[in-house]
Amino acid sequence: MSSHSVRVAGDEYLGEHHIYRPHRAGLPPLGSYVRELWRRRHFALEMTQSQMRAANTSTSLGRLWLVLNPLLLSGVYYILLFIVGSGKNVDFAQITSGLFFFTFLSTTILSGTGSVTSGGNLILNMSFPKALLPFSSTYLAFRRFLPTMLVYAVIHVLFHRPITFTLLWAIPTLVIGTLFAVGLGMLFATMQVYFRDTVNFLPYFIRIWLYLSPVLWTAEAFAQSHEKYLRLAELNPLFPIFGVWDDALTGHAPSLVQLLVGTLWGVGAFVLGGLFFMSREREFAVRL
Amino acid sequence: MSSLSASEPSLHAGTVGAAPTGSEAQRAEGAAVESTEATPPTATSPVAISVRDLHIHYRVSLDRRPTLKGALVNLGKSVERYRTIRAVEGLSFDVAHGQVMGVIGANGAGKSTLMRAVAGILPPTQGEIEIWGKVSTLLALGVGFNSALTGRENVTLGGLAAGLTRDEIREKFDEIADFAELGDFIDMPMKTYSSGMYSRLAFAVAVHMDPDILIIDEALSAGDAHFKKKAGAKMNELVGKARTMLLVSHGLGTIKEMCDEVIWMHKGKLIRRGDADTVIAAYTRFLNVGESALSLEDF
Repeated sequence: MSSHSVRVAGDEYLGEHHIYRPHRAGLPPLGSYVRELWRRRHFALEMTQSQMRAANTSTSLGRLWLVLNPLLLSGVYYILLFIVGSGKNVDFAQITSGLFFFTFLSTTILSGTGSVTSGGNLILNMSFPKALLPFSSTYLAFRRFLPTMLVYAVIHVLFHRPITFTLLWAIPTLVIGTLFAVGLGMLFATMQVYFRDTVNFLPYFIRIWLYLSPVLWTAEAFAQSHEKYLRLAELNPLFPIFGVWDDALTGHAPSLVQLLVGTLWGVGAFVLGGLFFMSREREFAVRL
Repeated sequence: MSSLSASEPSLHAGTVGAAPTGSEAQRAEGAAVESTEATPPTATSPVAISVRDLHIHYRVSLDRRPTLKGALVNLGKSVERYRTIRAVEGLSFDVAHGQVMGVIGANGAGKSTLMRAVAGILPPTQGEIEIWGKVSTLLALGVGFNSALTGRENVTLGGLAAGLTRDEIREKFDEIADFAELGDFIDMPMKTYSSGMYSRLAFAVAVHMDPDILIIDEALSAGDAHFKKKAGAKMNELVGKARTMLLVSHGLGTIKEMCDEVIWMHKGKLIRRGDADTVIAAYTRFLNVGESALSLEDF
């Protein structure tokens, strides 16, 4: 607060006080940033809900597509793996559980990446913490993910997968995976402002990532068949995350090492991606 | 405020040539630098907006679309791919609480950049902006609106975007809907609206946000003549409630009618500030169009 505010203090309109100074690349004060973010949470939620409503009114299949799409994709991969693997070791329940989770993570990353450049109208005309945009797109991805989990629950029962307390491990895994995806989304969203083709490259990387991660295959099967590459495969952040996810859903207690490594990746990506995003966000309005 | 009084000599407009470039204009710009000393607020006039030595420069990419591919292709080549735009250069002024400040100037004068900086959207390159009060902006109509949704849903969305709570929006909803005069259209998707209806609702949302400071950029042209009149009356009502307002318009008639003081900007610099009549007269002489009916019209 400068001396000016002292001089005019007591006036009834002084509910808010802002000072804007040059800081292009520095971090905004984190405390007030988070407070402002929290204050605007209703807007982010309403924006997400309005996008859901808008999407549902444009097509009568609307909500059904959210479920049909990943289910059909699982069918496609099931057929592919059945043919490639000559019908051995192909588990439909495993493919759906992995693919549904992966779809959520990749949607979070991709929609987060585009959230800033597509929010140009808001950024140019309103002052708000820009992290609201990737957070809102993440919430949208999560809302679209939930119905697929209901479908998986049916598949889980139909395929006689165990119903035990280990299933609860899926929740922290979901949190870790989300943190990781939001972190990457924020990192790429910042890149997207500077290089508008980032979002064009990403789907290819994500597709390769899908094949390199234990989504369509299991970490155990990989360890048996490609032992010498195991160390390399473990460098993939999604390796421990999907390892724990699969353990949780198949009735196994997850490996603590995998849980720890996964958490480090998740929190690390979130913190680094978030800091990079915040340090650059004041420049977004200039670049859009 | 005494610091913004019309008597403060900054430029004798009569000496400025018709074209915005040339030696006369340069003299005008030179004079402006001298006139933009920051004036500290006094105890008797609480300041709502204080702009001190504000500079805003930004680099614009000369590429049609900055891409990673383009950056890799041009790697190592000394191709100038950016141009620096000096949108605002060394601006200082204060706006007292309850004052309506008009900002005029030719296209490219930096008016919109200044508005966005005061709203906290664009960061200053140098200098400082200090704001006391809740700011509501009307820089573009329908910010945050989703045209697939109904007017009613968009009022909620627009209100939340402006920082209101759901309860506050519920309270104000009838007033906003009445003001926008949409009738049954309020429950129709906004993509079915005419552009006038769209602007009317957007304007209605913005002026009902109860801001302390309202920043308006060329938004008075919303709707037809009847609505313009109503919008003008609403703005006057806000001024009556001692709201501070920063108003950019090419409609000099509006500026003359509403503003206590006017700033004339040219190429990022403050050329003159003072009471509306004097500054507008100087500005119109500068443009060499005279105070014809055309220049006073809102477009």
